[in-house]
Amino acid sequence: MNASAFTGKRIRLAVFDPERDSEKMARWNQNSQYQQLLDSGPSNLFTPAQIKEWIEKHYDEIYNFSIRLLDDDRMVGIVDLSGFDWTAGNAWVGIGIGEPDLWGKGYGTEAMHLILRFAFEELNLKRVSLTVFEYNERAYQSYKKTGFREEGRLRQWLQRGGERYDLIFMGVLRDEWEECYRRYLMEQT
Amino acid sequence: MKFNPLFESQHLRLTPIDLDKDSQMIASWTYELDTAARLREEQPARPMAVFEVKKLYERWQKESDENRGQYLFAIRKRGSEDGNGSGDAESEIIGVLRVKDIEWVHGAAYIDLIIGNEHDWQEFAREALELGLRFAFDEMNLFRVTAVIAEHNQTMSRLFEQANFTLEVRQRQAVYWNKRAWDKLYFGLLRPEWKMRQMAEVNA
Repeated sequence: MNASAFTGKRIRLAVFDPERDSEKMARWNQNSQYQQLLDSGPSNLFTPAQIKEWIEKHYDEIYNFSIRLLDDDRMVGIVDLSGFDWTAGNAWVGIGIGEPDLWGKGYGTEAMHLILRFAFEELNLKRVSLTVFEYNERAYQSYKKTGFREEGRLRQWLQRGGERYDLIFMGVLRDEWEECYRRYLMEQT
Repeated sequence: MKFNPLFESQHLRLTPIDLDKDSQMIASWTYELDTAARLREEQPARPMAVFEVKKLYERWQKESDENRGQYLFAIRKRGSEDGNGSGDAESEIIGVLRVKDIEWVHGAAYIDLIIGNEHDWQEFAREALELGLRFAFDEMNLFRVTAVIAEHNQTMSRLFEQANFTLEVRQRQAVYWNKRAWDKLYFGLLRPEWKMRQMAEVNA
């Protein structure tokens, strides 16, 4: 296994460096929409130092990666695996593209394939789970492309602007992902 | 304002967990690996030592104290000569009720109910759950409550179904227990559903 396993066609996954990368995360957070798509907590403006401290504190249990463009090595997003259940072979994935002008261009899908490859082929997980808010249709469609299937919804789980929305659960089993990944690689060539 | 007692029901009383006295009993329940799994959360399920149980609950009590992220109660049987209830804190712990992962902003939380032995479960689980739900909806003003139950724990699924919970999510093969993978089930009860059930019971 070498670095190329973390490299796709347009992006690569790099180790998240709290020292270098926290400032960018703080900047993305100034876009409240980004936070509302990513997180259930009230949007907050943490300082880069607070973000750095939090990520370092949880570094052992949350596997953090930055998503970087191959062109200029610019960091454009984050993806992480956490909540490992090594007995069942399950983990949770979270992903965000911080640059709104890059939304809807397939960068998240590409990064998801890379992290799933790592999860299934190196960590030997049996399944990967995620939750997505009902109003995040773009993410929902992207997850389907990497093999995730909807497994149900916690009804009216969150409240935004006086309206309530479902929390959608999705999961992908190893063979379901393999099928999607094969197709994805074929489309790339 | 009508002051309905939150911490007692016909046969049960909720009290603080007294770790010096209760840890040993709680630890003895963890030979039931489903119980151990719920206490150890993402760690592999195995029986727990008394000191571990103590440490775990100390951490949870601290969290509860510092950021109100969870609420923890010991479940005890009410004494027979229950003049002022003062004797009940002495009676043996039969279970633990936990409201956890509270999302105050969204009015959502998870509920977990552990009752140590089968006989107590048969007799008191429903009553204990009702105490938990009353606390969650009336006192915490939650909008919804979620229970996470491994597919193989059918006794527990049945209890929540009887309490009008709806099966909302089935995470395929997300639990490993007794030689094979099982689904992880998420049950939910919404505030309007709970109110409706209460009204139906009053009318009945």
